[in-house]
Amino acid sequence: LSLPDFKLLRPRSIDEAVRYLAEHAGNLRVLAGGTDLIPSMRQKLFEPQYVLDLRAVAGMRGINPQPNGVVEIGASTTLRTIERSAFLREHFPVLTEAAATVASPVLRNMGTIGGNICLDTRCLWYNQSLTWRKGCGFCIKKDGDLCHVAPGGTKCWAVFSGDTPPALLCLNAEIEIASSAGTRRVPLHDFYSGLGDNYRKLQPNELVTRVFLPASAADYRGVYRKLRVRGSIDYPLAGVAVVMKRSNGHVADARIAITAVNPAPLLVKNATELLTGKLMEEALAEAAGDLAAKTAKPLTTSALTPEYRREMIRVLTKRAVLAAAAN
Amino acid sequence: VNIKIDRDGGVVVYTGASEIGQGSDTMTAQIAAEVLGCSLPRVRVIAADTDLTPIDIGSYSSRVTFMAGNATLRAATEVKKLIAAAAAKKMNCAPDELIFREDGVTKRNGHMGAATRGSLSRTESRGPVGQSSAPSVSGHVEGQILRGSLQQKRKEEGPKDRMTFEEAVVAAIDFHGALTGTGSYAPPQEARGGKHKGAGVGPSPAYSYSAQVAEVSVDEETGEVTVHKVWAAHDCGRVLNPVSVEGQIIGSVWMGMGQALTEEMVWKDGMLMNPGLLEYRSPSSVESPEVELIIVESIDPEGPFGAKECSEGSLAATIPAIANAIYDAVGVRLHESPFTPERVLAALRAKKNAKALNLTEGIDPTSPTRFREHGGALCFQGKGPERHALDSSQRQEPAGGAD
Repeated sequence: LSLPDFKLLRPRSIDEAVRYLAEHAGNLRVLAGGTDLIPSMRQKLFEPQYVLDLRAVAGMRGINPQPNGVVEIGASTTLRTIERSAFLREHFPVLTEAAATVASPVLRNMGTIGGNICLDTRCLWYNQSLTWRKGCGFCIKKDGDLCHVAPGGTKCWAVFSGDTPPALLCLNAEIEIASSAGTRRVPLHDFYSGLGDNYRKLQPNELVTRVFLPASAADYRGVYRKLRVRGSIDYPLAGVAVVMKRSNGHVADARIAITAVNPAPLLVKNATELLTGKLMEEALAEAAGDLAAKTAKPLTTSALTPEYRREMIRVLTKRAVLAAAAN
Repeated sequence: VNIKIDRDGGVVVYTGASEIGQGSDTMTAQIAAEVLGCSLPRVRVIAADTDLTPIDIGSYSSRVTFMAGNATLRAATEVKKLIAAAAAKKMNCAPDELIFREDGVTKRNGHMGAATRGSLSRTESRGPVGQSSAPSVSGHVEGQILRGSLQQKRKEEGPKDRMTFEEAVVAAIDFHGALTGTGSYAPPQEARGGKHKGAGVGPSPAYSYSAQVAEVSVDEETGEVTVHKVWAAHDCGRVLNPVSVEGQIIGSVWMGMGQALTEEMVWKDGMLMNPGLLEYRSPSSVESPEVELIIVESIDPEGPFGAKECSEGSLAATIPAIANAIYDAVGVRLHESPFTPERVLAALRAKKNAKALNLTEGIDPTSPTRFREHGGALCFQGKGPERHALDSSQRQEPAGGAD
C-alpha cells in the first residue's frame, strides 16, 4: 500500500494555513499528527492534491489556563501532553483519562487533540484497501452508493471512534474554527452532524484551531471507560465518559457521553435529570446504564457484535457512574 | 547441508533451513561446532539462499532442529572423518583414537587424556570457552601462518599428541585436497506421511510433550477474559540452547493465547473482513501474561544429540489450558474459539437464564453448528439505490474473469 502523490504545504502561521485552505479547498487534507490520515491515504480513501502539514504552525500547541478560568488547548497539542498534564489531571480528570486510552503510547506521541476531534468515522466496509473495497462494490461513504451495514438504506452508519470527544462533551467544551473569513466558536455537540459520511460541520476552507474548556466544568470527578479487545492499539468498540459533582453524598450534577456506537459522540439525554439530587446506589447506576444503552445505535461497522456493544455501553455506564461517585 | 572448511580454520555451513527468528542458524552452528570440537565463532552459517544452499523444505512441522540438525550432524561427521584421517597420520595413531574438542585434536590418553568424556559433551551452550583453555594458536605457529614455515615447523617437531584445529585442518587439506562434507536427513519410512493426497509433508518423527496451567479471571458482566499467569512445561528432548528454548516456549504461550482469546479471521460472503493487523488482533504486550517455564529434558534416540523440537508442542497446550481455566472460573464450556468476550458472555447469560440477547449472531458458542459470518450484506439484491459500475453484483462476466 503506497501513498498517492501529493504536494506538501507547510505553513508557519494560522493565517498562512487558512490561506492555503481557501486556495485549495476541496483538494486538500489537513495533517496534524498523521495517525489517521496516513493509513487512510495508503488505502486510497483520500487522494488529495495537497496535504497541509500543521506541525510547523506557531501557536497551536499547549495547554493555557486563562485568568477567567477557561482553559484553552491548542488543537495541535499531542494526546501525550494532555495525558501527562498535571493541571488537567487535577481539574479535568475525565479528559486525561480518555486521552490515556487512545491507541498506544507511540501513536499518542503523534496524535493530537484536534485530530482526535476530527477523527474520520470508521467502518469495516470502509477502512479497507482499494482492492478490497472494489471487491465489495464500494459503499456510500466512499466511491459507492449503498450501505453494507444497513442494506437497502441510503444513510451512512460509519461509527465515530474517537476517545477524547465524549470527555470533551461532558465538559461542555467549545472549539474555535478559523477560516479566511475569520474565526467562529461552536459548542462541540454542535460540531457533529450525526451522519456517517459527512460527520462534522466543517467547511472545506475551515480549520479547527483551539479547544476551550469552560471554567464551570472544572473540578468534576471524571471517569472514562472503553471497550476494546486488546489493552492497547485498538480503537474503542464502545466508550463511556462520565463527569459528576457531589454534595452531601448526593449527586449535584452529572453528565454522561458515549462514543464508538453512533456516527457521532453523543451526550446521553436526560442523564443529568436522572442522576441529579439522587443518592448514588446500584439501581440508579443501572438506570443510567439503560438510558445510555437506549442512546446507542451500534451496527455491524466494527468487530464484536452490535448487541454485545450495546450491552457493554450499559455495563460500562453503570460502572463508570459508580466509579465517579466513589472516587 | 554442506560444510566447507578453509585453511584458516573457518567453517562455513550451507543450510537450506530458514531462520525465522526461532534460532535455527544458532542451532546449526552449535551442532557443527560440537561435532568438530571447534569454537562457535569459527562457524559461519549461510542459510536459505537457494542459489547457494541445498534444499530444505521449510520452517514448519517442528522439523528444523530435528531434520536440518541431523543433516548438519551428518555433514560435520563426514568432514570430521577426513580431518581425523589426516590428523591420525600426523600423530601416529588410529583415527578413532582422536578426540575433537576445545578447538583442537587430541590423542586419547595424550596430554589432555584425563578429560576423555567423549567429544559430544555439552559445550554447545558455553560458546567459545574452549579457546581460552586450549594452548593458544599463535603459540604454536609463532605468529606465522605461511604454509611452508608451518610445515617446516611440524617436520621439526615430529609426531605429537595434540594439534590445534587449524593445524588439523591444514593437514587434512594437504592430505585430501578441498575439505567439504555433505549430510542429509529423511525420516524413517514408517514416520512419513504416505503418498495419498493430504498426507503430511515432512512430518517430524519425534513427538514432544507439553503440559500447561493457566490462571485466568473472567469478568461476568462483560465476558472479558484476562490471563494472569501460565506455567508451561515442555519436553523438547535434549536442550541444545536453553535460551532459545525458553524464548520458543514463551512465544508459543503468547501465540496460543492470541488464538484462544482474540485472533479470528472473520468472513462475509467470501470477503475477509479483517485483513489487516489492526483488526486481526494479536495480543499486545499489555495482555502478555507472566510465563513460568519448566524445561523437561529427555533423550530422543533419533534426534541430533537427543533433541526433539521446541515450537508447536507448547502452542497446542495453551488453548485447552485457557479453555479449562475459563470453565473452572465460571463454569461455561466453549466449543468455538477464540473465546471472545461476546461468546463468553453469551454462554454465561445462557447458563444464568438471563434475558436472551443475540450476542453471537444466533450461534451458540457452547455447541456451534456453523461458522459465524460478519453481519451486514455484501450484495444487496432488493430494491435500493442505483449501483456503482464496479459493484460486484453488476458484473456480467464471471467473478475474477476480468482480473
